[in-house]
Amino acid sequence: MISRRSFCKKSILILGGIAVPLAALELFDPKKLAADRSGPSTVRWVFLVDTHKCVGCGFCVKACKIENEIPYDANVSRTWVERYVVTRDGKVHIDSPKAARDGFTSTSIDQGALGMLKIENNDIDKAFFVPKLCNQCDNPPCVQVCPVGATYQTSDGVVLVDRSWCIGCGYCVMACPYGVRFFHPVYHAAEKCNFCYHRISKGMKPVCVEACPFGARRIGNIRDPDDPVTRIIMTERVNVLKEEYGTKPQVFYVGLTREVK
Amino acid sequence: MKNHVLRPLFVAVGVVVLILLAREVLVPADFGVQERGYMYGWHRKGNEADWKNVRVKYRTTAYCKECHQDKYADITGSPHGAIMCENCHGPGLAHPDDPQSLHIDRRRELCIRCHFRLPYQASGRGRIRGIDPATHHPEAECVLCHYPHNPRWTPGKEARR
Amino acid sequence: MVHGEAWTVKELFVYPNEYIYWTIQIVMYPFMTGLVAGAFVLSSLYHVFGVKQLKEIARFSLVFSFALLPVAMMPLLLHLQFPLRGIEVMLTPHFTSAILSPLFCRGGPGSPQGHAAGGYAAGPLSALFAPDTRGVGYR
Repeated sequence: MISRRSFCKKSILILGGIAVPLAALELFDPKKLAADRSGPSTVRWVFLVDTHKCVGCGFCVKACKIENEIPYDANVSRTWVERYVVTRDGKVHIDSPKAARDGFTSTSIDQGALGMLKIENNDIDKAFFVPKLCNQCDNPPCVQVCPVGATYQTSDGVVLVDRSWCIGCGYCVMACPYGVRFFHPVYHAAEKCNFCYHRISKGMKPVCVEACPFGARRIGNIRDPDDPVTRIIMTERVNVLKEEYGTKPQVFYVGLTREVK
Repeated sequence: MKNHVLRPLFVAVGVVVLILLAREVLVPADFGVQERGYMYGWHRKGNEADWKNVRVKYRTTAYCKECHQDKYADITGSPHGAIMCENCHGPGLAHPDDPQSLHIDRRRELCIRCHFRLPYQASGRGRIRGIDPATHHPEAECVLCHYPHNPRWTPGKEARR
Repeated sequence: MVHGEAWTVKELFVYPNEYIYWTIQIVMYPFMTGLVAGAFVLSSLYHVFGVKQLKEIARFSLVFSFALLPVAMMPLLLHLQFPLRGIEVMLTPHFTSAILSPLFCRGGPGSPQGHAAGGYAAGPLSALFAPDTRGVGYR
């Protein structure tokens, strides 16, 4: 005979157990991601960023803007570099003046409308640079929300935008948690990093990879187990940005810390 | 059925037929569900080729060294060896047909991208030799004293390789 | 000038591409459709359901409703970068987008109804446009 009290207790326990989705218990595992992709393509482009190597020179941003015809003086960019300065009082200062197109040539932090913040060198606990670009997510939220099918993912994992079909509603711009998308100032369609699709499909590397003198940016094919980038992703400590959004981002970072947003 | 029910129904059906007709005319023939399924692959197939056909502007060092062997030999062993030619010389898309299209950036702003002194030990920047451009010969172009293809060598002096 | 730069104020750190794109026009659209629907209901209360107290306002609200109907969509269309391409929402609808939910009942894969019905059968109109899920294209 079951008492009312124990019945209630057990029901709550069972309901709670059912409510916790299995996905929440699952830890991040790139091996599983690689195995998951049993699609027709033998290529799945991924990116590897080593934040230890980045010095914030901004050559990648400059080259990207010219290569991909983003107006040079417009305040949007397919890729950008962020500077993180953690000071002794525990504050995290972040900036990316002009998307770091001209590099970081000041010790002051650009706070936008609040002006420049001067930081003494002695106050710095740690400071580093983080390059950002499109994560070419496996579950791209920007593609899911497009009402007309103007943006899509190719079989090799790159998310592209059809400039002749985009209506310019801005939903994809709003949906991207990484702030990668924007409206092209000339073509007015949604615009984003596509790993220089015209280059990687010709066997070249994306222009930011070529422009980086320090090897901080690398591209690879995660379906090829012998690819050096795949080796690093599988065997070393890498992380991704905003994993909790469930987007399955495919840009892997070495040396990410909790300050990085 | 009554007339006032049928009439709006006809209008609704007419609108749907009109949209379906417009679809036949206006939607490109290669629009459809592609490899990634309906959620992520609902698009015009021809657009993938459009993106592949974008013109390459940066030809990379491998292209430059075909003609400029001497310059390549200069830079390749130096600390600047990893810097792509076009980072400073501009994209080589129209070169050598139109030599004027190359714009060599000799401004101080180019050099201080890396050589502005930032004491960030957590990144590689802290280990690069840097200057404060406000005090380090502010009136001069860097290339007056430093040879960019091999910074260890200065004009008028023996190479320190 | 980037779209959105004129009215976006950036303080501290925001992503370089982050500008406010959805502005007053998005709010005007539900407001105006609300006016249309409300005026229509008000008028139908008299004309259909016979609420005699509304006789004075019934005719005016009907005219008001029909006059506002064609322009209610305008702010939504004008906020698009390509207003003339707005019709593509009807031509190649992507039902996984929430933008389509006011137009059609959602029934694409990924939506709860779509999964429950095993495909596209959920919405009355979405069924008409249901693309072939076997990957051949809709033709």
